[in-house]
Amino acid sequence: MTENQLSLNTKLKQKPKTWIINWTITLLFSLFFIYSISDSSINWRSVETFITNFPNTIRRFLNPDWDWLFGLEIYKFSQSVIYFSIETLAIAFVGTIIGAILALPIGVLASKNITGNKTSKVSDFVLILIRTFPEIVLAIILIGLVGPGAFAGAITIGIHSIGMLGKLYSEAIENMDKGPIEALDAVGATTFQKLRYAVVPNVMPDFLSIILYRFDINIRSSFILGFVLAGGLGAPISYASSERNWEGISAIIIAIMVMVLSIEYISTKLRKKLV
Amino acid sequence: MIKFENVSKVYPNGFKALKDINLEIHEGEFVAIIGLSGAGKSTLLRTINKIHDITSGKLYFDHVDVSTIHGKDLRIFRRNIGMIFQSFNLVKRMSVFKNVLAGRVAYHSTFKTLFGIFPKSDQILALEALDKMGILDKAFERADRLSGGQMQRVALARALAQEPKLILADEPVASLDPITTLSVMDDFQRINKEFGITIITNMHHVDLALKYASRVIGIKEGRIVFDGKTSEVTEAVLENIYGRKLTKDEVLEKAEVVL
Amino acid sequence: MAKSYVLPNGKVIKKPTNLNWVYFLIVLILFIYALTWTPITVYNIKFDRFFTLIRQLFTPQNGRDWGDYFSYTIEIWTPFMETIRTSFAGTAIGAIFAIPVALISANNLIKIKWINETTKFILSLVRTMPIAIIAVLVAAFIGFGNTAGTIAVSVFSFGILAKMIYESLETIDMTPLEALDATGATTLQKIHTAVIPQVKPILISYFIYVFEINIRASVILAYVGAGGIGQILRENLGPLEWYNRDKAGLIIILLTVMVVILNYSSNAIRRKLQ
Repeated sequence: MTENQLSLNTKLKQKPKTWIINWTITLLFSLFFIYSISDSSINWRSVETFITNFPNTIRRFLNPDWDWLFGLEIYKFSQSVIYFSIETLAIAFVGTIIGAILALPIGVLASKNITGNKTSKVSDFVLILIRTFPEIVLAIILIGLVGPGAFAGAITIGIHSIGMLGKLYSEAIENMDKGPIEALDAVGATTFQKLRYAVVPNVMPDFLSIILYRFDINIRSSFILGFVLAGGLGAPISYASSERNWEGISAIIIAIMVMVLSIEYISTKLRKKLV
Repeated sequence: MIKFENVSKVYPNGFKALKDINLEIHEGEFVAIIGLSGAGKSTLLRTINKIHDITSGKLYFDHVDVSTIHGKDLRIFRRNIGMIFQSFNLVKRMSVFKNVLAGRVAYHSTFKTLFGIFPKSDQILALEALDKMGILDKAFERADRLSGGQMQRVALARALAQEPKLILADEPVASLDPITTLSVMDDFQRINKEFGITIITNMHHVDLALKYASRVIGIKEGRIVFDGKTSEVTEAVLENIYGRKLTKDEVLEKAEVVL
Repeated sequence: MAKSYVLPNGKVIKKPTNLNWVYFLIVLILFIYALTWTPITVYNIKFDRFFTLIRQLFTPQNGRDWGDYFSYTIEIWTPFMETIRTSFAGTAIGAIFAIPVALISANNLIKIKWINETTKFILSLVRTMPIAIIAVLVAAFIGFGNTAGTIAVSVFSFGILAKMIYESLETIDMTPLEALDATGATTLQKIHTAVIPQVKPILISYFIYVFEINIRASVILAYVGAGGIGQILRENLGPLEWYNRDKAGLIIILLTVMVVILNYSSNAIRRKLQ
């Protein structure tokens, strides 16, 4: 064989290896998948009732409980879905801002280019711990401390947000343009002036964008915390569901959709302006 | 104004960036430093405003030993020296005006500048600097909305706002297109002649250096191999500095070459 | 109210009003208003109750010692795996449905605008639902349990993955597709040859990312009744079970460890893929 053919042959022989790896991974994946869905428990009686009641359920579902939504007729405003929705929003808002402020020092500490390797790795680890501690459990602990209600929810969201916000802050700081810092060095600025005139204006739009993004996510967290009585829509939907109150569930879904979509819309618009 | 006496700089990894530099630069001069990439041009420039420290020899600025300047005096020292960078080094999301004002920070204490409030005189000074560079109308636009040449002019305005005696320029036109390059170099020349500010600049394009500078310094492997008037530069001198005949991108296309 | 500057040489320039202060004030006012909705229930703060809870969570209770924790870990292995399986299956099912929908939504593959826009809008509606609400809805139909959990995770993952995938699809290099067009390839062939190879690494990294989210979400789901480790956690945390709280504490620690490991390994895998 010529030299060319020899080297082609070696290359061809190398190729099957990636094939084997690909197929093995796909096989393992599929096996694990089948294993995962094998143990499904379906409450068949519940499914039966569901199927027989389907048309009725759908009809009820399409007839949302407007009174409950707006707090009319027999419902006081403070019992209405809208009331709880605003509460959910407020909890998320307060929590996000608390988290945003508290995460600043930790985010700065976790940035390699400001504090160096050791401190930043330790701070990063702390942030990961905060981030992965289950929010619901945090909520329960805090309810034990300050009692149930919106305040506990807000603090839970605040503390939990520190984890993610701190990480994103440090990423923004590590990615920032270093040129202006050198320029201000040459101008004779103190460290603080360098921070104020080269670092802050550079990263502030990024920070604001990160905070808006987090607010969006926190609204959903706020719902979930309601399940453990930390205020908001979580509790009403839990009750409505167990009572099979389709009109009520429908009303709640409308409220959720309107709220989340509008906040998402506003947030996207604002974030575009910040770039 | 500036005096190098047997200055050397060795980096911690052993690399000898500057070897035995002896140099005197006087007020009002327009000096161009040329040489291959990595020859030591940037290092030389940055030892003047003490961004890099020298490892041996003495460096004097206005008869003061630079290595003795620390802390608060360092700030006062640096505010008299403006620096222009190849990548402009402006804060992109800030307005042009605020970028220029940032040049004044060394004139105020940290506390005063905390809230971003500068005295009216500083603000007028900044606007005047912009006016001198011909871009007053862009004062309140975001810095990243400007063209390359305009951004470099903002950088120049920032340097002017410092009311400096000297401006150091590290490849100031390397990122600009040929026509903008010429107009920015014209600005440098104007600053030098009208305001009497000393200019020391690194250049990649030899013909530009020859066109605008009154004095040329050639650096090769950390040593000065030529130091004299522009008129004294011959092709043989250039070949010595670069170790070979010039390549095409060391000569600017549309500029005139004065040899 | 905007001032003007007058320069010594006579030129005048207007200073633009700084809107930043206005924005800051708006946010401040909104914040104070929001605070009225989250009354600080300071009178309820009982520090001793708090510290008791912490102690109950993280020290052995009810005659147990540290060694018993090991056997308890084995005990809860099954529900633990249940949670992982629900997350995995849900992510996978969501991904299977997300890929074709994303292909339709991407505005550079099927270039029919009303199809693109409608699917994107429907996806955004799906994404508004927090996973717990989806779970509750599903459970209202078929009762709480693993299946409800898996379906909820699937729907949730579907929404997120579809968006991430179509956003990636819209940024791929179109030139191989044009080249294939010229050779007369069918749409499916084009997708298989030109699109999939470009997005495969990104898909894998998205899958891992959503899988991680779902593990954390599964705890919440299990908490509201969809089985798994969260159920046990909830039981052991309850007010009457104060003597079993240490079990709950162990679960919390194990969960945290698991997610941390997942986090680090998924970062490593993602970096290797790039």
